[in-house]
Amino acid sequence: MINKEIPINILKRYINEFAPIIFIILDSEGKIEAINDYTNRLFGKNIIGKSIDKLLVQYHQKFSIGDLANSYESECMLNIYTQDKGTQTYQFHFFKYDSKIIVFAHLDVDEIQMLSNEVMSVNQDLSNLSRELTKKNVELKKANEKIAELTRKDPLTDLANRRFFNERLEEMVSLSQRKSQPLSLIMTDIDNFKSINDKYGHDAGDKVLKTYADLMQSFVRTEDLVSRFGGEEFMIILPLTTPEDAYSVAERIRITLSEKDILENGVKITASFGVCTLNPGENIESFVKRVDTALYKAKESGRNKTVISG
Amino acid sequence: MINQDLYEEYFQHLLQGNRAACTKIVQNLLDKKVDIKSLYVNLFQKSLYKIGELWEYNKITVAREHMVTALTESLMSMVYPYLFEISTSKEISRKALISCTANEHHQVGGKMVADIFEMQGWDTHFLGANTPTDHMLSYIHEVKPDIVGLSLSVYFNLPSLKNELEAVRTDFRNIDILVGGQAFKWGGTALLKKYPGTTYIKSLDSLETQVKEIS
Repeated sequence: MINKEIPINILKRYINEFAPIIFIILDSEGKIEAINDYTNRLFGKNIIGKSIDKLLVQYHQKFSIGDLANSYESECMLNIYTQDKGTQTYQFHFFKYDSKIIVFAHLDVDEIQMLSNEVMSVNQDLSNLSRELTKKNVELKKANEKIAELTRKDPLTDLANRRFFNERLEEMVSLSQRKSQPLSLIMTDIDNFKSINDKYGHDAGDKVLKTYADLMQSFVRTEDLVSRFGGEEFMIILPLTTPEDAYSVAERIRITLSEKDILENGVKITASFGVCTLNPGENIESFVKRVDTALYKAKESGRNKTVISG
Repeated sequence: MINQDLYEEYFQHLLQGNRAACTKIVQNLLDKKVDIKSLYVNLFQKSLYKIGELWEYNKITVAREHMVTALTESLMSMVYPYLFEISTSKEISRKALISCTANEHHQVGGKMVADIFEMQGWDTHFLGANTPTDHMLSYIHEVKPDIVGLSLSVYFNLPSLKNELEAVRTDFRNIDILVGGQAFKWGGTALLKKYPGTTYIKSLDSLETQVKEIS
């Protein structure tokens, strides 16, 4: 105590009742004789009469309370375990008092502060890392969606490409066979497309392809798939569609196209159509071959026509 | 969407460290498509300011302040999938670098600033708490941001901010600098006049307005 004495009864009361300090008196045999309120709250009254070793998690073999108590300088860090707080490190001091030993112990506050700061900083790093990772994940997801779209789409017309057409046709053929439902295909080809390119240039050719693609899209249902099959060749998959209905879809597209002035120069653009409906048990190759043959017949018989495969 | 009752409920759970209850409140708001800036300002920021006040008046320990901050940061992580969804759909190809000054251990404010930029489609780089000046300078060299934002929460760290401003101005004459944070509630903005191209931002709302203008 520096300069001023504190009345002993106040000090006693503080240590006994309020202070977060372990205060234990050991008898001459090293058994616990008395404890303060804080120790009671930590361990309960039934530690009285027991050896102090019972409170410690790690009891060092060479640890001798007697030796420690003989030196005023001595202090040691010991882990204690309680139900409420788990394992905690306390700084212990032992003092000899007549035949008894007095034990004081307190939590190392500086160490707790240091640990708390360390935990805080680790937590901040983790939280920043999680921010960074979430950002990268969302970017990756978007990039993947973009790639998936690119692998499905024809860049000029924005229609499905041939690869996606093949995937979808395979699914639809298998589904239609299993459910015995009608599935139709329309194959269409712009008439004399090469001469449009030659006469009016490739930009005009591209415009015709794009306009025709949009026109076809506007005539089909959401479940149908319009795709660019080759240069000026297109395929339309029509699930749950009879040959008659597929024919009338093709005819509507054909007539609308022939009435349009796409190049705004009075030149009429037309297309030919093959229509075909899947036969029971038929495979994809045969299905596609039949629609191709129907289109060929439409071209052979003078173009700007729709032919149903027999 | 965030009324006084909901705020009070959230604040009590937060103060008790009841993670599950806080998570539920935030998730409910996200499910209802709460405006993210409003979630930041009216729930996260408002509660942290209150916690700071309680700490200043010795009503809570620093350990509790840490716990509440850590909990808030983990709640912010719940917002990120939504935030970056908004951000990547805007893609304006401008970059912001946000950093806390050296010795500044409070990072939530700076992170919210980075997130406000992110919501306007900026690509942000957030360097976190206690970033050493040389580390920040090399990051600016590498990332080449359009704007640098410096966050300061504790008034006593003003000298660090001064060092940082000098260092950034020496190496990068033309880069725009934004400064803000709780430190300035006690003044100190006069210091910024010495550094041209440096703007003091007083709140997340005014930051949002400013970012929208320059986006």
